[in-house]
Amino acid sequence: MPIISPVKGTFKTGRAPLKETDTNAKRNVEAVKRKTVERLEQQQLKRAKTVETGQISRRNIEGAVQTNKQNDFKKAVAEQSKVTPRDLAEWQANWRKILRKDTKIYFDNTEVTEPKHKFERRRDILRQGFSSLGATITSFFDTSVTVVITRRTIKDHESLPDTDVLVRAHRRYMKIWNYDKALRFLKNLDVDLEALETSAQQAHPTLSNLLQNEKLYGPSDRDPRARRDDVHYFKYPHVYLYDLWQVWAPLITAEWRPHELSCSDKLPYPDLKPGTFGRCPFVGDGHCNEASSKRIIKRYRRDKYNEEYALHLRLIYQESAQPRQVSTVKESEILLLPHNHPNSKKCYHHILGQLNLEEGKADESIEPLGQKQEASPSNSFASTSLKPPFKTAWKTPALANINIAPTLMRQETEELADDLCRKKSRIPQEIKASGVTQSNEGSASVGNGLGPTKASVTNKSMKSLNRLVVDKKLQPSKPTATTTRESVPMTVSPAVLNADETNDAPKDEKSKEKKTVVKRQDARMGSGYCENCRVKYESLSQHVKSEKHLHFAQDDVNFEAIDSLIEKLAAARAFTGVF
Amino acid sequence: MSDVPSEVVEEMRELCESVPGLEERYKLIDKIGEGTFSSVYKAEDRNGTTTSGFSNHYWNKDQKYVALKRIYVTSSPQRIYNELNLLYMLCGCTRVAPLCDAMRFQDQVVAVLPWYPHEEFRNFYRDLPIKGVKKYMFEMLQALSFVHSKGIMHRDIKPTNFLYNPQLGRGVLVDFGLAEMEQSRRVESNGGKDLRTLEHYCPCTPGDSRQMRADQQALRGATTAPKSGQNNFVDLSQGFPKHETRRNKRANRAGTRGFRAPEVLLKCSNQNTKIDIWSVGVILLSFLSRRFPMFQSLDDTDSLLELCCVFGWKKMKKCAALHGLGFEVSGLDRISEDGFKGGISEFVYTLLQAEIDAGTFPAYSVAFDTFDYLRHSYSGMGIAPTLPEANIDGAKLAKLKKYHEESWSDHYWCFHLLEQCFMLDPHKRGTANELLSTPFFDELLDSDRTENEDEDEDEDLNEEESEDDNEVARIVDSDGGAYD
Repeated sequence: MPIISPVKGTFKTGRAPLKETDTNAKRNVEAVKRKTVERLEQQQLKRAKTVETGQISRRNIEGAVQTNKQNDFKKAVAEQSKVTPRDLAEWQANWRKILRKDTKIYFDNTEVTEPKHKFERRRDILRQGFSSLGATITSFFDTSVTVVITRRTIKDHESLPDTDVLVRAHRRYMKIWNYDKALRFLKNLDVDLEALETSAQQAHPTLSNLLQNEKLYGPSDRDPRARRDDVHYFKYPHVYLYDLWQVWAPLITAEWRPHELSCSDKLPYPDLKPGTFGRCPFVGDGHCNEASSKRIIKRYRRDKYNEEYALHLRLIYQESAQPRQVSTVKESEILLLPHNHPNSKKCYHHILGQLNLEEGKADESIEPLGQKQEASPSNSFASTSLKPPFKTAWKTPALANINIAPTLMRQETEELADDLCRKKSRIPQEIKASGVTQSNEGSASVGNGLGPTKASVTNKSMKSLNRLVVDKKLQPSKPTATTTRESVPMTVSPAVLNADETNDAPKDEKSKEKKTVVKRQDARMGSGYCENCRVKYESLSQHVKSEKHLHFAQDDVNFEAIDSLIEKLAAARAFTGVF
Repeated sequence: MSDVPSEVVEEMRELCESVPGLEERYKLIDKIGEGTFSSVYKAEDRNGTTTSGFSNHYWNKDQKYVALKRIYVTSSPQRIYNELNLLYMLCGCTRVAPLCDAMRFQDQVVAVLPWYPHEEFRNFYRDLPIKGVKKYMFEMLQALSFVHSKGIMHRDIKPTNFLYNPQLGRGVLVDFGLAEMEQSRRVESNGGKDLRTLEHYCPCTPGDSRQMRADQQALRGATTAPKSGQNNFVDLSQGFPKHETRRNKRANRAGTRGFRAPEVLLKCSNQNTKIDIWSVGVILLSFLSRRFPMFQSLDDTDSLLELCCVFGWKKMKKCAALHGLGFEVSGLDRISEDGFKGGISEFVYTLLQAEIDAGTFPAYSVAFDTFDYLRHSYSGMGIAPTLPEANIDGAKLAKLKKYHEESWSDHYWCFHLLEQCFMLDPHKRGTANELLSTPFFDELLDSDRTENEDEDEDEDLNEEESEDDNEVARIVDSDGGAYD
């Protein structure tokens, strides 16, 4: 029997240790026992007696196995002689029809003294079995019920009180089945009870399973609730993602010491910053102070420059989701809902006021740009494919004539990667796709992203080696990262490594930016993984000249599928060319 | 050619050399993109034969440029074939870029697709009005509806892979490099074997009689100590073995960070087309809150925590339980149990509020419409929009009122759509078709009907062939898996 009782979670002690450890044998016996109990019943032994044998078998396992085996054999012979396959098929067809059309099943829920969980499991199996055959299951007893399934013994209808469900069912000629009968019934209808059972309860443990578990968790006669030396228990704030059935290794194990979390501005895990100006809310504005004068002016200029494009979009989508073709944008046509919210224009004017500048002078500074726009609207709107302004076109504002305190200016030095004011790169950058291979690692891929996954279970010494390598790699740029990693003693699983390694990354925007630049070059020329040769290479240009790669590239057999597709395309082209 | 940097010119020359015959048919103009697995160049179809068969795909009938996608030689032929074949299967929809031609010399494969005059997402996501967002979403969901109807999941839905032109209101889905066929549900005769030891089993399996059971068990298991009859004898819900000997579960995680659905992050082995719908939701969230990128984390742990910030760890725990996982978040400051009480719309509100407080929106910004809508609906002032007092003359006022009303009704359904996309349970998340039939798209469905009929005809032509192709694709797919 299982050692843990699921309901109370108590641990039973005081058994002979030998028997307890031999779980495998016991379980098999239990399985055999359940089957034989059912079959004994089939031989029309009295219900009372089966329960008794059940109890006996529980007490004396070996004995039960022997007697039941004999019964089993006898029963099998008896069944063979009685029922012809044709009868069975007919019977099955009849019952299936009945179940589908007019069967309403009620489960008697009067309490019995036996442990509840055992019956609950079987009841669920029955429920699933019957409903899979199309029978209706009702939770309330009424006169339309045709079958009552009970876990009580049925022989003594008379002794029950008049109000009892079974008595009433009996009077109305409803069928009254106990669980064994119902299970047998389903079995005869070819319902795969075992499938239901395996899904309902845990799988039957096999020897290999048990041995594996013993390897994982130690001998099974241990107190499962006692703290163990070989398990790392979380003490500090942590994230833990694990398999409820404990078949697979945990997906995430990350724990942070209090001192790592002391600085609420630089948490090692994501939090809502939330930032402004279109930035990722989990990155925030960082060092960029959008309230600084320089930023306000810069932003205002950007917005001014972008205005006609934005208004154009507003106009073409003003009335319908199908864009209207507009040749000119008339200011008067644009519907703007009045609002009083702070915006870049207001901030700009505010700053101007604050800096004690005359309005006129300030306007002068932006006038050239503004005029240019107004002078050439017909020009730019003439083409239907209006382009948003190229951000390279405008430069940092001429600050010479604006008297800004130098302290404010310094805050601009740290510019973020995703700054809308920055000039656009010629070729649009994109967020790298990753995880092409079925990776275990949670982090973005390295190199060209094609690399294979590492062995699922890493050798312990390999793990520590890997750790050293990662440590070394990270040390020069991020000394803090090392302390982070060591804070989870002895238990650094790949997930932890990843978490730490990358948690630090978003903090340092500059270095990240540099990294991506390097990676972009990597993708074409630098190091990576060749799927065809299944090797890592340091330099792509070198690798493609290697003998192995050339050999692969020159063998047309490798590309047969692609070639046939190219032929199909060519054929289709020739076909359309005819017309 | 003068504005093309010399290194790009050099690169294009090199490409022409590496694929003989390329230069005779295509005149390379510029490099227009660089991805993880390929570079893309704009080129001219010299004699027009390639593009002639695909004229219905072109947005502008006069300009027939092509995009040459140079797939890096380190990709396996299987992977390349998978991509090309999927593209070939999907050429029946004008919202998916068709494969016009392909060339190969030795290991260098070049795919030829139509070139589309699209606009970069970064340039319009802050300025596209709600009806523009509607059109964008409509185009994208139409494309996905077609792709999903073929049993294909794209896996990498993000703005860079959806070429869109807001002026024309047209978009095409590109880059099927990570796409794969949806796995047909495997019928297991598991013979009493524990399902959970099978790598491709996930308790979230739909339409399964076991599903309910598994869910219940998982939920129960998440809160109580291990059950009897279970294989293990150690409670590992509070800690993990120091010397892990169990294998890591593996699942396809292909995609782009920030756009991955929770089931991908949770390594569900039963992923389906709903993962694309989640990514659509992320894009819509970018539009509504005018932030891009929305999620930034570099790894799956951080991605999950980002989702926790929005949805709260309680919901994420429930979601993990669907896939048979326990999820514990403890003691993390600023990651709460419930996340944003008002759901995703309150999250949007918070983000807009932060920008408005800082005054970083331009005065003409469309974000104020969204913000006012949300503020109004939270304040309990009723659903009917009221215009703030302003001196506007009669004719314009009537127009403005109409605009206001429509904008608010669009916002209402748009947030409804957003919630549908962000259902943490993939089975509750809407399909592309379900989402297209929400009232948000009502005004577009009528106008689109005629267009669809044309497409249906194309589809029929390809029907027969594509079925065979499905088979091949599946085989290749399973081969591809062996590479890990």
